[in-house]
Amino acid sequence: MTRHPLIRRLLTLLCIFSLLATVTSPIHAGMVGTDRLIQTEQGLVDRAQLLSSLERADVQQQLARLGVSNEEAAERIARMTDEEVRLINERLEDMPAGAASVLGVVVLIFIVFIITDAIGATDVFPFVRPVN
Amino acid sequence: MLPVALLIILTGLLLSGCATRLQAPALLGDPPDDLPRQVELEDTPFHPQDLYQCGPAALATVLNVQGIGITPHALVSEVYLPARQGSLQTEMLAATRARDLVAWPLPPRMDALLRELAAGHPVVVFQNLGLNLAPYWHYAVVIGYDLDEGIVILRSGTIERHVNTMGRFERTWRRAGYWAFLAQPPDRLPATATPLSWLRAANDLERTGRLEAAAGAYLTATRAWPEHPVGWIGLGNARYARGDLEGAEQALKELVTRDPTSHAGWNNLAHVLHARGCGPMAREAAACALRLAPDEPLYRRTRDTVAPQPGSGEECGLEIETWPNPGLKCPD
Repeated sequence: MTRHPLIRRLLTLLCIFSLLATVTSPIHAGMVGTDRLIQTEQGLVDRAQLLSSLERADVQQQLARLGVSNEEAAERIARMTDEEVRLINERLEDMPAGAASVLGVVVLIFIVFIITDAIGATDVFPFVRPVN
Repeated sequence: MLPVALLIILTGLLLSGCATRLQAPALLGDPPDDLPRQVELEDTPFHPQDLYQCGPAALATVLNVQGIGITPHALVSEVYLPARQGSLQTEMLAATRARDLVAWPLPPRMDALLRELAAGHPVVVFQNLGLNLAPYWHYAVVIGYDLDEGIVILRSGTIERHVNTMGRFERTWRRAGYWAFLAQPPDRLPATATPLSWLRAANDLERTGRLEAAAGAYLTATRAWPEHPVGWIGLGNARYARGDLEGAEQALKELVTRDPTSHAGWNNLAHVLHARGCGPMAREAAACALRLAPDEPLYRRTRDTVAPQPGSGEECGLEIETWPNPGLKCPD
């Protein structure tokens, strides 16, 4: 066995690097990774799904009752990050289709307005003052 | 301050998950016409669990179904945490992938569960047999159902044929977040797979270095959804990573032939052609990617990578006359 501490350390590093190399996919750094494309696609699908829920007459009715127009809601969705859209969709999936869940959808979008108002990104509800 | 407090309360109410309603009653009341009334995958093996080791037992069951002869005992070191007296979900998926199978998470729906059973796929489910406040976590394998009786049939714990009413089963499954997965061979799609859900599972194989299985799963995706670009990119990338340059080139060329506006396809094709020593073609492909998406820094890097190196004799295995391929054209 090698006794020199420096060589031993280098060998250890080499072992670690060779392990890392097997973990990451060995495609060229300049190539577009599959995971990145999947993420982008997922973002588009999520957004389309959320926007399509606004098309439903019952949802539009509820939004109108809250004083939010369909266009405003769609605009909000357009401004959300992929992550925010995903979170909302996740909640929507939890709610089975039916009259009771529609209220849930609307309340959820309503809450998103409040959050974005609170962080100062939007000004939909005048009673919410930005926290900063 | 009041609105913030209101916000916290409202969010808390929503996040507590008290709103979800059971799916079983609606499903039993009006089941889809194309769903068989009864299914039981009787050939599914049974491994009675030892002590708390339901994870290894459930996993061995579905691995056996795919022809992998392994006992729960042999899986204990992989998926069992003695201190937790249980198995983590991520480790169940990782152990499945380590056998070159696609670990595919099921959508959180009862009808998806039944459809997979009807397609002959036993499903590993995660359950909370206790209460939300005093959970008792458990893994089992659902092997059948009967719509007339309103039951599901499981290989569970020490019971070979555990019969549960559908509502009762769903409550235990719901308490565990409707978590379930299939262990599928790369060439066999789940009945309820969507392009992205399958591609994500294939990508998990790719990222953990199971490149052959990943390429197989991507190939399956391109056959089922040839119009979906990500399957072709995945196939190209996985083959490239395995050193199968010819196969990678074939997949990416297929993509840009079908969809000449796929800049990611052109970009990756440039790298494959470059690796094959086909410099002029690589440069054409790289230029095309950059023309389609001029602001993408990655494509500028590709252009530099495939730029001619002084003094390096490039030898391309392809006939230069076949390029540009008649069906392969960069859109103007």
